[in-house]
Amino acid sequence: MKINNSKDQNNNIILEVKNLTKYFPIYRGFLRRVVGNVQAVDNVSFSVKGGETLGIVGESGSGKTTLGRVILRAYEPTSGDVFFRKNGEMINVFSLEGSELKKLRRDMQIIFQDPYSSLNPRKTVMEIISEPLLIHGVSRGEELKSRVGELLEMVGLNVQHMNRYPNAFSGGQRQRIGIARALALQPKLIVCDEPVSALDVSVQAQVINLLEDLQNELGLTYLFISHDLSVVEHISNRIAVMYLGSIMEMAPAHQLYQLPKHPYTEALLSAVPTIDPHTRRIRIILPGEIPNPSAPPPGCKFHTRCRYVQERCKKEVPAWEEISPEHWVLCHFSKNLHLQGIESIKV
Amino acid sequence: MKENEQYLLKINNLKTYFYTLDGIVRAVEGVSLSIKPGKTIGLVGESGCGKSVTAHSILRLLPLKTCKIIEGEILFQRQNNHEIIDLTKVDPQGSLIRSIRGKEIAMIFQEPMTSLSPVYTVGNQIIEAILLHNQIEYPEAREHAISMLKSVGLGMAESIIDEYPHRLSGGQRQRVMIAMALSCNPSLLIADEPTTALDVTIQAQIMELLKSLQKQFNMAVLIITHNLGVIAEMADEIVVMYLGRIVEKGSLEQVFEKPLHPYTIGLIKSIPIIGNQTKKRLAPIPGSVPDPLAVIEGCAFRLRCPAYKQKECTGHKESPMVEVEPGHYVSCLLYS
Repeated sequence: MKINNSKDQNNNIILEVKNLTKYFPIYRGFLRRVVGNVQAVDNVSFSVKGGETLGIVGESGSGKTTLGRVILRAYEPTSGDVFFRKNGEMINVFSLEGSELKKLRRDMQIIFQDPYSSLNPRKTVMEIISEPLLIHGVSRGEELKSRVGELLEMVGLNVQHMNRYPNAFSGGQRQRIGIARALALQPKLIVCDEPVSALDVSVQAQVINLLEDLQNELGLTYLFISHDLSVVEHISNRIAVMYLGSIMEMAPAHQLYQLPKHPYTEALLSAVPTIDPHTRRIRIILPGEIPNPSAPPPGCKFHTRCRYVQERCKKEVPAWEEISPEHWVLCHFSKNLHLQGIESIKV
Repeated sequence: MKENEQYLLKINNLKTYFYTLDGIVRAVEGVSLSIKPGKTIGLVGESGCGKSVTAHSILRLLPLKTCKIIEGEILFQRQNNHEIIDLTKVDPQGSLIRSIRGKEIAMIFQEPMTSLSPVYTVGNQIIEAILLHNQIEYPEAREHAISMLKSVGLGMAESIIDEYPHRLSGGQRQRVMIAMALSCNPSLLIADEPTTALDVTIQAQIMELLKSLQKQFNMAVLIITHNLGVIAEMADEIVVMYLGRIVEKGSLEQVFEKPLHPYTIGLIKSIPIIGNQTKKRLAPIPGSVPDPLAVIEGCAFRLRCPAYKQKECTGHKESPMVEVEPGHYVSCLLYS
């Protein structure tokens, strides 16, 4: 892996992930022996600049949610490092313990996918949003109340509704409560784990606009996890494509969609339905299913379904290379392949 | 009834209400649509708009105690003698509807995880349907089940037939559901959100599969979804629903290129277009779907409608369905 050490380039980086790996052990039998590992995140490296949105796309089981949670240290990593910028210094998230870690958690928050199960039904909106503020001792009493009011206003909810329970709100409103809770401690980085997938189309657009406004206002950095390729393209500056725990390709959004360099990205883009009745994409149907993550194929993980597969792909693990500025690919033949982008043909 | 003969299914002014402890939910409020043999109709709308209840009304799969079809008719042309029957008049537990369910009208449900029984092998479940509707023996039915599994693209059909559903992936289970639905060669297939629970690559596979099987078996398809992309790729005609009512219907081109109803326009504008280089701000529909128990006077979409806000429309009454151009209908006061 190439690490650029020139100072001015690195100054703006807020999050750096290096060779991050997370395996979940599989236990069997009476002695609970470890018989295998689900390789949820496998040797992933990337960095995120302050104020940008990095989209992470992939199919279910590709490890995108696990990646987000390991970065937040909700799960302990198997190996690798995550550095986060705090007061101008890059701190290793995994070296912190106790109160140090708690302090860091203020700067990294998460918005969950399902607004129905991520809010405690027995707590009022006031209690839900004030909880992080109380835990971190930021404010209390009248000040706390006015801060919660402020947050509710920020996400477009009525302050009068502070004492209601989550069941009084619709899906979109609940997701706004979840966003207000994530914003309460004024974080720098927010992991958005499929924040709009559970919402109706018309409400989805409202929440996307809200997230964009908040980013502009507060200078937030997003790690935006989603399986919806059109939503990710809309909101992200750069996008990483995950498959079986590895990032296959990472590039600026426009470049990734127009000039993909990895066969998996190409196939993924070709599967998106078009809403224009006069155009169709040339479908690349991937044969078979996503392999079992506890026994990923040797060599390149995608070789079992790749239509450009060569002998070398079955044996050698490809290197994570930056083939052009900001465009990273995990493929032996990325330079030789001419792949189709998102453009479609008229019929 | 000459006019009806070219239709496989014709729904006239259907009203299906739920009687709950909190009041009456008017889930379907006067829906009329017709399906021609071999064609695909797409039913679009957000959650709670009554699209699934419409589909369940056709097969009479609604809860007996709380739900009633209070008005309207569902005319269905039967396979063998082209006799037309009204499904709303049929006993929902009787033998007539049971000879239609699965045989002449089949259904694919949204969640392939929950709609297969976990305690029977997939073969068992497919063969059950085949034996029920055809006078054939078990070995022949098993043969047929295997050939159906092959035709939906399950390569190792001979071994998959003896697997339990939990051993299969989501995409495989959805294929099993499709194989089961098509096993008796129905004239109408109702697909209720057939790809919503699936990943894009699997969704693409299932859409291609449905299209090719439709040609092969020459059946009509009623596809229900909130995904406009899926509709655009599958449907010949589109019906847009909002709060139990049809707000717009027309051919695929008419609805996507010249949407008329403010709700349809809003829906199309609120999804990000992939590959669009100008990163425009999305234009969402303000507000959210009202409480299903609420009785809304006048136009149901009024409270979220830009024309009402700008006082271009009074929204004082429900609009009748008007035909703006041949085949393109809209229910909106702006056009009547």
